[in-house]
Amino acid sequence: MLSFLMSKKNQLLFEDIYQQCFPMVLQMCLGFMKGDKDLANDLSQEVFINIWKSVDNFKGKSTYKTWVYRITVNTCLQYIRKEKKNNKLAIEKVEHTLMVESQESVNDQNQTLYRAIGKLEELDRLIIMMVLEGQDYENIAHVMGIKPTNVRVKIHRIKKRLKKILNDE
Amino acid sequence: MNNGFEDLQRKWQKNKEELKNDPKSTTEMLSAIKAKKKSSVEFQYGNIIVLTITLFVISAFFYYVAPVKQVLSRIGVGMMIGGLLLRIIIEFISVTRSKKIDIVDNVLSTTENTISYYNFRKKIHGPITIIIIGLYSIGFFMITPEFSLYFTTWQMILIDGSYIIGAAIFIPIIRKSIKQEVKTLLEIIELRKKMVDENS
Repeated sequence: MLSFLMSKKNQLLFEDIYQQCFPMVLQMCLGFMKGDKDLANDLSQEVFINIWKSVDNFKGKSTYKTWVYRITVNTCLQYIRKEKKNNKLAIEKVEHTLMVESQESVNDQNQTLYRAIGKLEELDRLIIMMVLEGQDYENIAHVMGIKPTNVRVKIHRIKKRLKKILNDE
Repeated sequence: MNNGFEDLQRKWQKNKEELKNDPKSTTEMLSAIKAKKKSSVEFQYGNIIVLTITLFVISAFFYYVAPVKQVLSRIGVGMMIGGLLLRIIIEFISVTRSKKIDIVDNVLSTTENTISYYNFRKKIHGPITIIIIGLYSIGFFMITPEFSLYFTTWQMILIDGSYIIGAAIFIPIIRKSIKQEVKTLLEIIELRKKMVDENS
C-alpha cells in the first residue's frame, strides 16, 4: 500500500539513496550509539523511514548526501530524546554493551573508535562524524544551520577532546 | 594532531567499507519501514483513540443507561464530556504541531521548531490540564446528588472513593510525564545554546 503512495521516480530515488548511503548512515548510527549494533540498526531504520517520508519533498537544492546528513543528524538527536523519555534502560544498555564489548574485544579497532566517539557529547559526536566522513566546514555548517566559522571553532575543540579521550584509553 | 586525525579518518573509511557488505535488500528495508510507520501512527494517535472511546462510552452511558434528569447533573455531565472533548482537540493540535517539525530542515531550525513544540506542550500541561481535570472532577461530583437518590450510601462511597483512588493513581503519573517533558525542553534549549555558542 505504502509503495503506491510514492511515484516510481521517487521510489527509484529512495532505492538509490538507500544503496548509496546505507553504510554512511549505519556507521554514523553506530558512532552515535557507541557501537551498539542493535540500537544502531534500529536508529538507521528510523533514519530511512524519515528519508522515505521526505523523499517526495526532495527539491534537489542541495546534493542528496547533504540532505541525508541533515535527516540523519536530526533523527539521531530526536531518537536519543525519545529513548530517554520512554525507557532509560536503553541508555543503560548502551553503557552495559560498552563494558561487555570493551572486555571482549580490546583490540577491536572499530569498537575503540566508536567508544571514543561515544564519550563525546551528542552534538559533538555528530559533528566529528561528519568530519570523519570527509565533509568540509561549509557543508557541515549547511547541515547544522550555523556559521562556518562557528563550525571551525567547534571542530578544533572536538578534535582536541577526542585526542585526549584516545590518549587516555 | 592532524596525522592522528587522518589516521582516524582512514580507520573510519575502512570500517565503512566493511559495512557495505551489510545492507539489507531494499525490499527488506521497505517492509521494516511499513511496520515501523504503522506502529508510529498507532502511537501518535493512540491517546486520541483511547480518549475518543472513553468519550463515546461516557456519552452512551449517560444517554442510554443513566440519563440524568436534574439540571445540576446535566451540567455535570456536560462538564465531564466537555473536558474530555477539550483534551481530544488539544491532542489533535499537538499531533499536528509535532508533524510541523521538519526533519529535512537544518539542525538549528529543527531544534528551534522542537523548542516551540515543547513550549506549546508546557502551556498545555500548565493551566489547561488543571482546567480539564477540574472540569471533569467537578462535573463528576455534580452528578453525585442525583445518583445518591438511586444508590445506597455505601455504593456512593464506593463510587466517589474509586474516583478519588483513580485520581490518586493517575495524577502522579501525569505529573511525572509533565516533569519529563519539561526536562526534555530544557535539554533542547541547552542543545540550541551549545549549537550557536561559538565557545562551546
